[in-house]
Amino acid sequence: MTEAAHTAHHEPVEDTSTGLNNRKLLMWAFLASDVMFFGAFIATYLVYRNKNLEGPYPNQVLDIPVTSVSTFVLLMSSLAMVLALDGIRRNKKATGRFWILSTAALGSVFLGFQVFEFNEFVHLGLTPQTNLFGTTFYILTGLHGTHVTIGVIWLLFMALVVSPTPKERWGLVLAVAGFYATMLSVLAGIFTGGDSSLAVISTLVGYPAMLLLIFGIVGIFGGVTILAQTGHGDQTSHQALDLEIAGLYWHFVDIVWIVIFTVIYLISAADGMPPGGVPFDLPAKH
Amino acid sequence: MGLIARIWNALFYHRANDWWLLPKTPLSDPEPDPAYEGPLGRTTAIAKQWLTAVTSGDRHATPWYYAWVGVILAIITLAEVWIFTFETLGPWFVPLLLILSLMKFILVVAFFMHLRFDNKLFSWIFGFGFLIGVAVFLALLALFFKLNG
Amino acid sequence: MTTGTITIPRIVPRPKGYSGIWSWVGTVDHKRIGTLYFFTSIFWFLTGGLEALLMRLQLAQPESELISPEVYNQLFTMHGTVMVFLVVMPLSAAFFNWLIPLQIGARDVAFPRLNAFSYWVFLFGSILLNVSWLVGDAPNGGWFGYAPNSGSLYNPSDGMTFWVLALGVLGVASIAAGLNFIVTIINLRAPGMSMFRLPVFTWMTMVTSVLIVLALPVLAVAGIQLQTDRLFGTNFYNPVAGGDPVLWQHMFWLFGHPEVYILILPAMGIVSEILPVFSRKPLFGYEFVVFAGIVIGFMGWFVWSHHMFTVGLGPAANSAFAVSTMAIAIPTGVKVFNWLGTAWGGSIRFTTPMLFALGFIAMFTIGGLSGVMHASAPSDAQQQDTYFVVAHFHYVLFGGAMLGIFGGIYMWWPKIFGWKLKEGLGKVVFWLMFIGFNLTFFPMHWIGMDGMPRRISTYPSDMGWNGSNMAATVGAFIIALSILMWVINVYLSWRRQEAAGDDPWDGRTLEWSIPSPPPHYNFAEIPVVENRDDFWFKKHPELVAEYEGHHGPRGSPEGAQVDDDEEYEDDLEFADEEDAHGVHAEHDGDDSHGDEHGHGGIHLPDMSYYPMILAAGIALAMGGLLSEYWVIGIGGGLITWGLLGWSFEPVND
Repeated sequence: MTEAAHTAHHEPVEDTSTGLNNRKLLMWAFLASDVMFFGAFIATYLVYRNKNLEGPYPNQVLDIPVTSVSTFVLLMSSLAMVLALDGIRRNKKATGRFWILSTAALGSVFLGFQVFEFNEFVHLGLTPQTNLFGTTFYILTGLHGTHVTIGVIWLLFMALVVSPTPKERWGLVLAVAGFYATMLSVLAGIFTGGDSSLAVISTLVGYPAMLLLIFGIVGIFGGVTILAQTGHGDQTSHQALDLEIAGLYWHFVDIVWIVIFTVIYLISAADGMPPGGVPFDLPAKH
Repeated sequence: MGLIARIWNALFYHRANDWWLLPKTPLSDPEPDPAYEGPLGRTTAIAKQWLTAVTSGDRHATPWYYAWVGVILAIITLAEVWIFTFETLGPWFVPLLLILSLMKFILVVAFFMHLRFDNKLFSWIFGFGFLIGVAVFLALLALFFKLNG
Repeated sequence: MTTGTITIPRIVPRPKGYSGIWSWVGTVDHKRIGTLYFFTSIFWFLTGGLEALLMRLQLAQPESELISPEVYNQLFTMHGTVMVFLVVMPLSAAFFNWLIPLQIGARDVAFPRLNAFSYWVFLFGSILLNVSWLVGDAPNGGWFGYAPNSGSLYNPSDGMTFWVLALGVLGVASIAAGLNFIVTIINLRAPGMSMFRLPVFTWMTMVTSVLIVLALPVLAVAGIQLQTDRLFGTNFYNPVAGGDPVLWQHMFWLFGHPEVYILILPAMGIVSEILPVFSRKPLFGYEFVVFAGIVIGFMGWFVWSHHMFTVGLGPAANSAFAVSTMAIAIPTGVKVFNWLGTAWGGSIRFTTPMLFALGFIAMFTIGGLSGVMHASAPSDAQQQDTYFVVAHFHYVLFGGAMLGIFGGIYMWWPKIFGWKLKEGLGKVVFWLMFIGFNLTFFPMHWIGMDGMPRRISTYPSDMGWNGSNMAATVGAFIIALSILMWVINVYLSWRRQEAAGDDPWDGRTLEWSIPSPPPHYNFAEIPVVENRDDFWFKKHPELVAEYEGHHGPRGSPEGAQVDDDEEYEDDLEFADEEDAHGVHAEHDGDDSHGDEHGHGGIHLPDMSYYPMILAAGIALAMGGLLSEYWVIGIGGGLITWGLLGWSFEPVND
């Protein structure tokens, strides 16, 4: 393993003073700038930590098991991203596209978790207007979610770019539509049927969501089958740089979440009512 | 110091092209090589060059290698959640979590974002922004919590 | 190359040609964008100056009732915001645009469309800010917008919302420009132009760009926080929910202090270019000047709390920031001594740019000294919020940045426009501005020490401040007169144009080696650089030996005479042909292989409307937050269209 690690990837020499690509350099400088952006928000969260005058308090709403799963999903999307780049660099378009779509899918699942989480918290009585925790939490994680959304759109765009023929595009549209239909139906099931998986399944049966789910699953399989039949032997490597830059952005969003997960969830999850706060009772389960 | 330097080198060893030591072109050579074209010129040629470089049998990190990094990331995340369930760690709780988080950060930045293999300049740019950010916001937090009053 | 085989119908045809208004709207040429930046910010300079004159009229006499306190609040807020964000920053950006590609020997910036985008975002953001005057709700919370005074609880009118939204838009422009220039300077240098052969102005641009890229996000965050507070009722700065006003101050000055160096470093760069030219000597201690700039750019991050000495951060914090603030005077002093060392023993020509540069050194030193005075926390406690502080920052921002920029205007005007500004009237402009400036701001030191507070619309007549205030008002009108003379100077010089020639000042850097005004491809032949101040040493090869070692030139100037290369002739022919056609790139991406590898092909980026469409979308979407939600929809639509159009536009540079 380590030997592979030391084998450097041979960079092409660009026609610039440093031999580095302009756009890649721009992306790195932008990421440095974005560090300051998220840094300022995380610092704001920490300054206001434990200064809520009223509830709900973090220990009443934060749900570590759920967020751990979504964190894991986002980490795995980073892995998928780097595999996608590897595939495209090796000129294996089908592999590359599969991993691009997986990255976008995992990112979307992460966003689904965030929608679920926000919905839960609002039901527990925490809104951006409620208290300092609500304000700092929603704006920070919401802006991170916005970054993820932009990343997902970018990746779907990249998937489109590496799929030039009409057949490939149809397969792509089918798979993506199927995936979002599935996600939507599952979210709808969760919101209407509670959060235990049995309840979700029983709610799905007999709902329009069921139709959506069936379409979704068929769409995913159909689309992926079509895509798997296409895209062999095409020259895609000139897109590797585009994908690498999209990937840098994606990984950055991931590392921001690594920090957010540690600082806001793991470290602050036990934060209760600070001295001088007003006690808060959670509402009964909806 | 030596240890830190060695860790740094181990994590961020680069194949640099000595960007600081310009010019690459010998001064006596009237025609710069590679030919200097324009701000973004010769895109097609560069794409071809790229293609050659990528397919010329250079050994890269393999997908399995990335998968291993992913496994390590997953294990660290599991460890973090595991640590979270302990209630007896006391003062070790926060530093431990921060160290684990930093490890994940470094793994993603160094391997998934290829800083480990890429030109030194990218590390400098990102590292400079990151260090300024960390220093400034730590100072801000210190003003609120340690130096207060 | 992103497009693959995908084509989408183009609703707007790609602009071509080099004349007419659409050629300006669609331009991606860095020199034209610089010119747009320049005239836009000169317009705002006049606006901000008018606001200052109104304030001075009000303060000319005690207990004056010319302007109501409400309007006075709006005036000083807008004066500060306009002068910082719409004048000094974009004027510096105009010089970045004009000069950086010329100084590093490039044909354009790294991302020409992003560059156009920066300008259009800046333009629309500046309009958004000033629309507030038209709707009657100009911002009134100071240029620092201290929360919660700027929150909707205490400031329910729309003024501060305009302010915070416009600053967000302007931040996008600045960050985009900053990123662009970082990449340009790192990546687009001509062969042989190593980092330590860069002109000092280019170096200062680099440091400034890094500061912009890292500091503006903090302002954006503070802005988003205030904005969500005002528009959506969040609690960042809501004292009722426990929000902390001190956090806003930290956030603002975390941005605000690097911003101070963003404002002054470009002017320092300009002066570092002017002095060697008119002293006919290389810059004294080039490395020191460059490293001092870098050190200022780094230390500037760790001094921000000196704006908050009276907040009550505690003795430990105040001492730490007092020390770091005093320490930053060291690299600044290094620069001043290097400038003096440059002029020392030189054969000085007192041209207008040189006068402005010398004025800069003197005035900036005075401003720097008063800065060291309030770096000391106990002393600052007396000076906080008095006219002493006003005097200090006008000495560094007007006496520093603006004098430097005016020096730059006189220095590079012939290069950009091809004709000189008349020297005689130029000297009149300088002396009027210099005298008026000192008459305005020097008395403010006294009344400030005497305790006259800032940001109040009037004062009692028995405080002993009457004479000084009257003097300041008279001085302000003398400055206005000098600006008027400058406009006349421009007009007269334009009417009777005096062709400048390629190199009117015996310049040192690469921009003087090409015709004035520069052709749109800048360099027919990308120069090969062998020395620092390469052009000057090529003109005066006999001086190479004299400055050997001292100045670091390497290689012999005869080593690489590329000028009589055969290919050079071909280039010129090729370029002329392009000019004759009026367009430079008929080929649309696919057939451009022919001269890809040749030395002679000059590829320039195609023009594009999408940067403007995208910029308009961003400004509309932000402005829509203030009016109707469908405006946001239109803005969003424009953003989508602009982004899609931009991404699918072939990059055939």
